[in-house]
Amino acid sequence: MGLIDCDIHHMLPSQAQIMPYLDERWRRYHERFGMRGLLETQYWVTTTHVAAARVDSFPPNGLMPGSDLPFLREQLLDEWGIDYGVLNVSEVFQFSAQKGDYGAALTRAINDWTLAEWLEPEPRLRSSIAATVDNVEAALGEIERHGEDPRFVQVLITLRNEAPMGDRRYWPIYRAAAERGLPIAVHVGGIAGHPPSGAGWHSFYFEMHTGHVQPYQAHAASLALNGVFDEIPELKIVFVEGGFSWMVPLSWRLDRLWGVLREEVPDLRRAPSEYLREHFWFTTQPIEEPDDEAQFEYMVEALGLEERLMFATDYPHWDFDAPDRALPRYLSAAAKAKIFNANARSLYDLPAAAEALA
Amino acid sequence: MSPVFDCDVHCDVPGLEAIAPYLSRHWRDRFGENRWAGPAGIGHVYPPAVVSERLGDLEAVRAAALSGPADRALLNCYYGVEMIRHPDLTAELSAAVNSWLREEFLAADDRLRASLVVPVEYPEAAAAEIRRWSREDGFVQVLMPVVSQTTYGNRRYWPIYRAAAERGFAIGLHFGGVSGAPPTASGWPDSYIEEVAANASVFQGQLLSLVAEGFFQEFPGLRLTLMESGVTWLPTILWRFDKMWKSYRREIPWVKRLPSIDLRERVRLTTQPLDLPTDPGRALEFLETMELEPLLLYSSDRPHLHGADCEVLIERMPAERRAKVLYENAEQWYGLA
Repeated sequence: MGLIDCDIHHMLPSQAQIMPYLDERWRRYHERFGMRGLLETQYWVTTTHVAAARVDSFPPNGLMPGSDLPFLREQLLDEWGIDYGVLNVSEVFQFSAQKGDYGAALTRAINDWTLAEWLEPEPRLRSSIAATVDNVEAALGEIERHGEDPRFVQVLITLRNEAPMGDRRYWPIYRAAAERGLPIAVHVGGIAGHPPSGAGWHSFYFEMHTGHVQPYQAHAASLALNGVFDEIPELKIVFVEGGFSWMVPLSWRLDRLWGVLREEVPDLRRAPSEYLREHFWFTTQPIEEPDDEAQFEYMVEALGLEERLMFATDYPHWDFDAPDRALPRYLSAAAKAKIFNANARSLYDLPAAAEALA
Repeated sequence: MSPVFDCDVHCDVPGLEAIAPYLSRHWRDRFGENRWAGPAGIGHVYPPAVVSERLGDLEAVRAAALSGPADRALLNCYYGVEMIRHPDLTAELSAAVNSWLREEFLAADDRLRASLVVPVEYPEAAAAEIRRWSREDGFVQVLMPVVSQTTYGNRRYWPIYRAAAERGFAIGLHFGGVSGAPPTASGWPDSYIEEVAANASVFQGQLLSLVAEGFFQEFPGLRLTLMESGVTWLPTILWRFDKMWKSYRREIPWVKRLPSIDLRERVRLTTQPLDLPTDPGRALEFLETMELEPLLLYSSDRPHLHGADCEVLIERMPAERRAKVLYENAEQWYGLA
């Protein structure tokens, strides 16, 4: 049985490549005004390589890592025996943060580009539908356009948004996704106008990258406490690139608080930890790796997460997790089989690989 | 009976009149004209739903904190001074609260210690306030609300740490605070309960910042206490700190070893409110598996409402370990002997 890679970043070879997918109005806008509000993302300049990519991931044509399908096939899908790879388009982090119709046009274009240039020619690839979380109407449009195509397996939103995920403004997106059996995937990134942590602005990329777990916790708490899952019981959430172990202490903390303060959220039907246990999945890269096996096992068992972890490489980023050394060596073969394949296959309802290739 | 030191008891300034003797004529007049009752942050951080009573004088503190299991206590007086932007007012309020703490509590009962209130967003003024006091006055720590305008590792706060190190005070980050910015990277939550939950991640952000900026190298003797932070998230965060440090250490070359090593040596956490499983057996198993007990300082967080299961849990610990959590860890940490 091959692998399922739940986080692959493909990318436009250059910004000009989006043009054929934009209409005349937005082509002109894209050229003459372009994207705004991206200054804080330059945190990465102090430490990573171009596009935070592996140095060997630049295709022979010299264009951007993750932009060339034949090379991605060879370096990732063939080399590691990957049955299915789920694409999370790199442009989503900039495009979905653009205001109004411009962001909507860019997102529409990038989804069309993904379909035409990646999913059509490569049957092993699946993709997320890139969505503008803070432009709900545009997000609904994209779910409407691609949500019935089985090659799109989830809806992708960014981690840092205008409000915590439980906020009611986002519920229409969740409803539209759940109706079509699509999970909502949340990937690190996005530009919200708020500091990247509740403690304020970072100085270093080290803080930025390490600190991504903070907004994930806030989102999980917000989703659990605002009754989203009572209202939309089919909703499934995938946290990508944010680790998983913090979910255990968070579930205890929320249950404790709920015990004392539940009069503030009287409509909530169940203990917060029950929602966390039932509605969340996590991709592995970058996985926690305590030296002590017992510590890792404790966290996995405490919330039954062996069924909820899904392997990801994060290709072509520099911190790519090679499948032969990505998971802690002490995990059992059975656990690895679930994490490498079965959990994702079940969540995304993917057919057995042979059938897909037939 | 072995001694018990309660590392987090909350006294409250009962009203501006209590600290009026320590305020200048100028501010007393201004407050009178405005009928101002003091910074609004207190009710925001501790709404009535979580407070059983306000401990406004020595008798109240003795009854609430020294008549139970504990026979000594550390007072933390949160007064919301960090939300005051006027540089002189935030400094003067802080100084007045400290004078009141000294006269009302520390001078009157040698079983009590206290944390200093400082104008954290004006670090030079905060450092000056720290230097007004010494350990002989009964102060052992500088109180910093965990919610701040900028991450606390940021070098603009270093004058505070330099002064604290000079005086032998610990730095105490405590739940709460008002900065004006949202407590999450995705904006404002809808409820208090979410904000309290999010507060754990604010502690994580502050620790991360202190690690990254080189706090532990710049101030080698300085101790960092996390109060009312919860404790169970700590190991999950240390794993991530260590993993990312391996990747990014060239960006922060002054951090010479795994962050978890410094943090385990230099950070302690108070016990209440517990964020452990309610079953004491499972809770103890977790603490032991994650090697957390050596980092714990007993606290009741009186008069805030959490339930009594912290004491129940500690009661279940083997005697030797219990004595450490109840007293010995704090004795060593704050130099109480």
